[in-house]
Amino acid sequence: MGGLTLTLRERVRLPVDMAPVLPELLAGLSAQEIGKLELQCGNRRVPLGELFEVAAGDPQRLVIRDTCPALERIGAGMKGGAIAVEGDAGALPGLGMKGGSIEVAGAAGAFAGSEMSGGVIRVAGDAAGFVGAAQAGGRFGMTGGAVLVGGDLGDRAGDRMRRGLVLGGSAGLHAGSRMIGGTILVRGTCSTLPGVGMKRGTLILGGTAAAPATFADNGVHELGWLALLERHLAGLGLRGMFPSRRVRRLTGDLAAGGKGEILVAA
Amino acid sequence: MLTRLESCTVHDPINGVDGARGDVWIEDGRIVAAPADGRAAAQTLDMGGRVVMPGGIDLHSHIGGGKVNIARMLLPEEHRAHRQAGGNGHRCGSGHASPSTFTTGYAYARMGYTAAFEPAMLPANARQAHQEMADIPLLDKGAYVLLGNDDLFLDLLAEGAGPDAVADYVAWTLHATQALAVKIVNPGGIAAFKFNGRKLDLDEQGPHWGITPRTILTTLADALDRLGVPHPIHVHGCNLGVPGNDATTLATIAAMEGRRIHLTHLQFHSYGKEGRHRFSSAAPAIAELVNKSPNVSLDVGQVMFGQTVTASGDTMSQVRNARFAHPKKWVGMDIECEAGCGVVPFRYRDRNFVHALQWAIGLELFLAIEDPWRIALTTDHPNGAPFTTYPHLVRLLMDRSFRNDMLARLPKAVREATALGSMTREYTLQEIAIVTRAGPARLLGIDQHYGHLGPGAMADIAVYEDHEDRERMFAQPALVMKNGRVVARDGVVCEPGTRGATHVVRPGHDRAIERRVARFFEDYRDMRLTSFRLAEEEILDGGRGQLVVHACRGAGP
Repeated sequence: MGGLTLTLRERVRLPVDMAPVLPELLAGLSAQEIGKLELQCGNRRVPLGELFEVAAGDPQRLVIRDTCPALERIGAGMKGGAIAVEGDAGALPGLGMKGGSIEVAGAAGAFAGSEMSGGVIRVAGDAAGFVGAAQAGGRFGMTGGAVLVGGDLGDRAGDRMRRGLVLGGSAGLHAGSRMIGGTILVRGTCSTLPGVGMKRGTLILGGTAAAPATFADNGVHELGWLALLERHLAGLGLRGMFPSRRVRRLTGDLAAGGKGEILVAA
Repeated sequence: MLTRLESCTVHDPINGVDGARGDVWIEDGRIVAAPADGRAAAQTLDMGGRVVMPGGIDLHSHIGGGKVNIARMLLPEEHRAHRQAGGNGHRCGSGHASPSTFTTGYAYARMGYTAAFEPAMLPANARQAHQEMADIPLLDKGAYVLLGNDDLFLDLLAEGAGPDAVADYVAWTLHATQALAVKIVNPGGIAAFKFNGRKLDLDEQGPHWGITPRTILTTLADALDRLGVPHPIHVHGCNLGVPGNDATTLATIAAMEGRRIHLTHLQFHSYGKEGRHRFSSAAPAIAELVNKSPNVSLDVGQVMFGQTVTASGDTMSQVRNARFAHPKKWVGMDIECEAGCGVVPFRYRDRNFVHALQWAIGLELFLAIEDPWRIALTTDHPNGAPFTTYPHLVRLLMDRSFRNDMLARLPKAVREATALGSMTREYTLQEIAIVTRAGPARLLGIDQHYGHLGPGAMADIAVYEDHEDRERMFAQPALVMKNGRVVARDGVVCEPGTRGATHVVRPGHDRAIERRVARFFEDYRDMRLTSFRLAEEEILDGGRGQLVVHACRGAGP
């Protein structure tokens, strides 16, 4: 049996809250019952069947087809199973997810993997701002799991991130801002002021970066633990991500304790 | 329109009705006597023997004003986690321990409450507090204005301005802020905090002005008595939450020397320091003195387990508690030289000795204080727990075996430190009606038209199914009426647009005091006196609001 498939009938303009569409919540429901579930669309409650065509299948392998960026909070709070998004995902995919996997074939909206604690999110295209970040007023961003972005990261990737891994091609402004722990790996370069307000954690950059003045240059090192990270990435099916094991180490942000580090490939 | 509620089991303590079968008649929003001329009702609702009580009245619930908003801003995650959609005339809202205004109104009405009073309105925040309360649907409301830590009051005392001037200032403040009563928080302590004081006991001289909390308390109590304000001074005493504050509480009662006093959230002021944990229940001794002192009334401020947020004007105690904040963040601030504010999120855990004993101490007070007319059911929302826990609390009071089951879940050290297990008292329905409605109405002096079901009373009515499970019974009244209109059925609000009135007092006073106040404003405040004063029209708001002025015993204005 193939995966349970939801095909968007036509692009929607108002945001749709997809949080109730989770493998664990759909288990044991018939296609008809699933069609009757109500989703919040703008300020209305709309039956799922009105928005999506439902084809029965294994809910543990949920497929959402012909998506558009109005589909928000896909996989929010999910604990297990897999969601494949064949198209773009709107804001907040994998918000607070605890396990399982989300694969986005297109681009992802802002706050991908925000406050997640486990599981993996793979985005083939770009991810907008605040990947793995904390919600407004939240104390921690992601606390576990991984967000692997094939394209580029937007601004403020890993804001207030506490643990886990974020991967991207390049990063926007303030990558790793206010970071408390975890690892952000940017294969290319990033825009200005990476690591601003960083307490702890590691931001690895493939290219040079204009780090804030509150970072101290520790010189060039051959860091043994990067081999462990490479092996970890290989476990996630990612090879050849590492530009170099020789890195220039900058520690900071000294304005926030200074226990974080930016590693720039040397 | 004449409406008849047929075959009710009426609990109306103010009129001495205890479970009598009968009808309740309503006309033009008020209760009326059964028509003598045999006129037929235009509408008859069969209550089928259900329990009928006046609408609930919460005399101490932080539902408006500055610190509630600060709590909301401090806890965005709470509001993200608890969201209520609008629809069917309902407005959307959010929050659990610091719910938004509409959510507050709906949640109270669903439980059969028709009035709630904000107990700590800073004069500087009065406008915002009233506007916020105007937003709360379905409830009558009012506010107690905070005095006793403000610079002008302490200046007057230090100058030896005399009881007339003090009373005039108190009355002027009640007028200017559209308040119903006066509250004092940690007398002199908040002011002392600003001079780096971390503790101020009843007979300690405060810094700068050199005035003791005892003097502040008795002066304010005398002023209110002079003015004839119906609700006595509403006191959040010294040393809130400090183990060993039982001595302070007993001394405070004695210090009043027979003057009327309302001790609020007394549970937080009933801690001894015996035992291995240096924390024990002093409820028996305090209840004994309260039982012997007819001048004392109180509300409990029961603690219930779970996440909440504590919001208090008592900066001193909140700074002390800040290290226990959960989640780990808090706010403390001064507000306009009038008082302070501290907001500390808090999670009461049943496995924690102190929290569990706080829970037991509250219940001990409920059960040991004999006169239900002098004790009001509160959780000091949200400080002890959100008000939505009231039905559970009612069940704890009415059902001894349930209470003992809950007690059995607590750590052994707690069970050994409390006499709760041996207390056999169970509240009757009549007593619950007293502590949740009739008593608060009487304590506030609004009992002429509120809190009872006699002719002339406002038709604020709650009808409950007589379930054996009292929690279920009080969580979901079959019918709730506000001003004679059905506003909720079976726990679902059906008239969400209903608006309540604002209750105030207007004691007479010598307007000459305004010159002294104006001088203070000119010298120290960032607001002009004329814009500080809250006009009647602001409450009336083009007919959207309504004012109910309660009579004071003193000379009229």
